[in-house]
Amino acid sequence: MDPDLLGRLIDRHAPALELFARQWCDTAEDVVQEAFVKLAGQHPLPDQPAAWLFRAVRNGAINAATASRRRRRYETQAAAIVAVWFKPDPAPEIEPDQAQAALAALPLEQREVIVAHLWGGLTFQQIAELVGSSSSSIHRRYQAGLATLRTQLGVQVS
Amino acid sequence: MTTPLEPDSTSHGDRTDLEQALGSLRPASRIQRDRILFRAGQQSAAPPQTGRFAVRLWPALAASLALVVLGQGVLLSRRPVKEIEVVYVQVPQPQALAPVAPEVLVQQAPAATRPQPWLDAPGPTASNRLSWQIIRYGLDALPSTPVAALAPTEKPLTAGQSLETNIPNLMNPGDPS
Repeated sequence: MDPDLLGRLIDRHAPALELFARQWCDTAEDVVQEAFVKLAGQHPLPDQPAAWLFRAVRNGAINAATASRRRRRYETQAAAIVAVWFKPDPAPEIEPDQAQAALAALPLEQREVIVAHLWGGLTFQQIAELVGSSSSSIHRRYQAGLATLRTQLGVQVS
Repeated sequence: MTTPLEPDSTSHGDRTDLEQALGSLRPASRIQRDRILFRAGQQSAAPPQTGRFAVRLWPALAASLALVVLGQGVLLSRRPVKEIEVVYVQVPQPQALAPVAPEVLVQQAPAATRPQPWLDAPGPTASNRLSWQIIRYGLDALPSTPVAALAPTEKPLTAGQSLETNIPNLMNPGDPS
């Protein structure tokens, strides 16, 4: 794989993929890194690398979450990892902490659709193929999630 | 149309204020770009994927054979023991056979083996008597003196007479052979 193309894919999609992986597990950066390394070993390159990356990250994050739950079962003290989902912004329209809290309160089915569409840039059709559902169902989840977020964040939105 | 770097750019203009506000937030990232590029290059220099099959083939084969051996062991230990069953079968006794009178075969000896009547007693002639004596007692029973020499008309020669008779023959060397 061309290193320049891989670098551009990392620059463009790595933050959104990390945010996407955080919806399931705490080791998002490791999952994303493994996904990019797997993509580099693909011959030929997938037709839609972004959709392929989101699928790989989703599978890896679910597996990592399962392993993490199994590991924590035997740990006396689980590390309280509170990851920051968004970078601080000096003049935000929405406070990042508020947005993170509101987003985290959504059901996982709505969260993954909103993250994949808003920050990942995937189409509803691509998300439908990613999660194994129909495009209309994905659109309904997205609208329902936005409605919930608007209710919770309405005062912050100008 | 989507591209690898811009999967979906058609709906950005239709976004609501909430979507634009949320989209303005930049996800925090701890991804190390150089590390990913290094690992990707490291993987490209790794041996081809076909080696994995060979590496996993023998453990899988050994595990499957171990399962087969284990299964056969279980089957062997649980095999029902075949008990020996003795079955007595009534066999009807055969009826006693009537005694059969032995068959006596009388066979007449061939004529050649029958004793010759003339051997029972010596014949009237001297030849008959000599033959009878030889047959009856063997050659050892013959007298040391020939029968012809015992003729009453001739006297036996002494050793000196015999030597004198044969001197001319003994002294004559004869013709060369």
